[in-house]
Amino acid sequence: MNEKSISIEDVLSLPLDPKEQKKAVEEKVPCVAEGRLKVYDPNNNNVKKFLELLKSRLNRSVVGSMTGCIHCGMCSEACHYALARPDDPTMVPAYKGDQIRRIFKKHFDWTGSIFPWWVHAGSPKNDEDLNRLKNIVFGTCTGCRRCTLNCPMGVDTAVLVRLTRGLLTELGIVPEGVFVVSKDQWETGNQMGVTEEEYLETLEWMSEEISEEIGDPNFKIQVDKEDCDFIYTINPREVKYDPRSIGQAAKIFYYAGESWTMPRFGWDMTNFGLFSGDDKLGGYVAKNLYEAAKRLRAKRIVISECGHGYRSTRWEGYNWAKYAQNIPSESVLVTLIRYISQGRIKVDPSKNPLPVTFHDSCNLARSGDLTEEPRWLLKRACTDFREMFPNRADNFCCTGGGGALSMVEYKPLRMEVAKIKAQQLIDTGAKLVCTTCHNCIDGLGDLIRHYKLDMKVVQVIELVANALVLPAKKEKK
Amino acid sequence: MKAIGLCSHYSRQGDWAFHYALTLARAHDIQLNIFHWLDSPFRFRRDYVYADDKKETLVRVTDELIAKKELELREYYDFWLGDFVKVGFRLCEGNEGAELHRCLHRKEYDVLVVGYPEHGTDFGGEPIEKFASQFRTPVIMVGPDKPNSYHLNQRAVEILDQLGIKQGDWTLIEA
Repeated sequence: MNEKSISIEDVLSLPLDPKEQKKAVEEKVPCVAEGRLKVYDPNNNNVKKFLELLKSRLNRSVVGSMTGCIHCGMCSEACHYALARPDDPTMVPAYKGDQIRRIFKKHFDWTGSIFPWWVHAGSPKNDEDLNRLKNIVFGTCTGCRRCTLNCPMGVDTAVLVRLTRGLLTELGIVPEGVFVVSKDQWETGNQMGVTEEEYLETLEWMSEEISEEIGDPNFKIQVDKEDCDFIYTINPREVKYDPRSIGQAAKIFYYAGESWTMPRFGWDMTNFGLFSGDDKLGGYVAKNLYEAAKRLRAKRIVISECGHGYRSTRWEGYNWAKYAQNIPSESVLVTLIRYISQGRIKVDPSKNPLPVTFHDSCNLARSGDLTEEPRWLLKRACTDFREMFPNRADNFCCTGGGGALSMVEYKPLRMEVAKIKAQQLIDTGAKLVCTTCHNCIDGLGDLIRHYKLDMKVVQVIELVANALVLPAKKEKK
Repeated sequence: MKAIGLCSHYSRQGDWAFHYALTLARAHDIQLNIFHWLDSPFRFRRDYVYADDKKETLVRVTDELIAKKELELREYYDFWLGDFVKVGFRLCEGNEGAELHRCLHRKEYDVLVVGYPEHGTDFGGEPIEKFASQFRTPVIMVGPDKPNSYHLNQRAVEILDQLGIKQGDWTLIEA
């Protein structure tokens, strides 16, 4: 665990890599050509533009977090970056917030205008300063909001970080990975660039597997079926890299006798706009989903296990989209609880005998208040459930940050500060760490490999599907 | 048997697996499809892969990188393939298990040959033995210590007479 600290100056001076942006311009990618996704232009007078954009984004919650910090230092006790690098003041959330706060004070607060030296007000001088700001907000904070919950003044540093990310996204001053994922989501409607053909083929393949497993030749995952109880929306990672979770959900829905479908378009409930701070992208993605539910006359939207997908679809999306969303949405965890409570499916915990602990996703627990539902399910689907400490809204981030894995240049720092999470995992003595977020699966998987922990990451749906007690008739087939 | 799939790997066991797959394809006069994964430190996400065998630098998967890696793949096997032309190459990204299932669904092979580097090797997020024993089509793992050491899953055992493997050279894979 005691690895050599990496140099923070190396992280903060990482240059802007515009290769993918240039390529997108050359290829006339529609979202870039139409100006929905911005590329970096050194002749754009970026500092001036940055200040104009900042002015347009100021509202009560932002200004509250800009002015509320009293530098008490309590946030340093909450942040896994600061805890992992206790001698590094640049890791303290208050410091990270100060990097945008000083600009606000200089230009939008009277104290900073008159006594800039007194309140440490300052302004970015050039694009290099903006690039440094990029490395701070994208590279040294996962936006987990643990510091927010521990702030006596109610300062939401994650709001400031997301705001700054959004301003920089408007100028194309973003890590290459952020640009690429944003482009994919603008162009294909999903953040991994999954084509419709690939999506439908995967559903067909999953249908065949589940049909064989349950012994029902008529079973098929229905696409674009109207008037179902719900549309099931997923993370594109499930299609691209691990479709087993789609199959597991389909199997559970089958045994519960559910009427459900998956939309042909508008199936990606993840939303990279939440991570990048791009409200326009956030609104576009969320609207696709809401429109799919409306088009298919579904009574509900069920969101598969995903932290930032849940937060953006259920809480933030309709504000970004300015959409009168009136079809309710719920996490698949709630759907599973309903099935078990109503006796529509039965689970046998002895089918999951390994000790399992639970990692609360930041977006689900701290920002979504979904803390008891996964525990309710795990206590019924596993024999040896162990709490991790701290837990629920006080849990530490997996370091995945709802999109941080797309920025490979920050991985060394991410892995260094992951030692806080790694120690939490070790202390449980569990063999499985369960989480309800696809991004956390990758974040935890990364740190498990990095710290060589004897542990495997699983999801609730996987454990519930494994614990299913199948009707005798189906088993015989 | 209509087509053979080979999970290629630039290693001793990978070469043994290739030679066995080629012999089998020649014997049955069927297609040999060679799948190659770009090596990545990430289990699922493979949009970033190692630049080379040193495994020090990560690079983003781009069209240029794919073209370069595909050329390397073809050049690696070209000499051994000789006059055998029923061969296809496919550079894959993503989880091995999921991608192989996808290729199977597309009927790109119905028998799979894999190099067996060592017991418990990670394959698509699980031990290679577990993957092979549960896979939906015949799987033959070659290695890890000698070229004529074959490990078959149950589905492969059922078509043993078509595999050209001598009694005593194979064992049943147990996860």
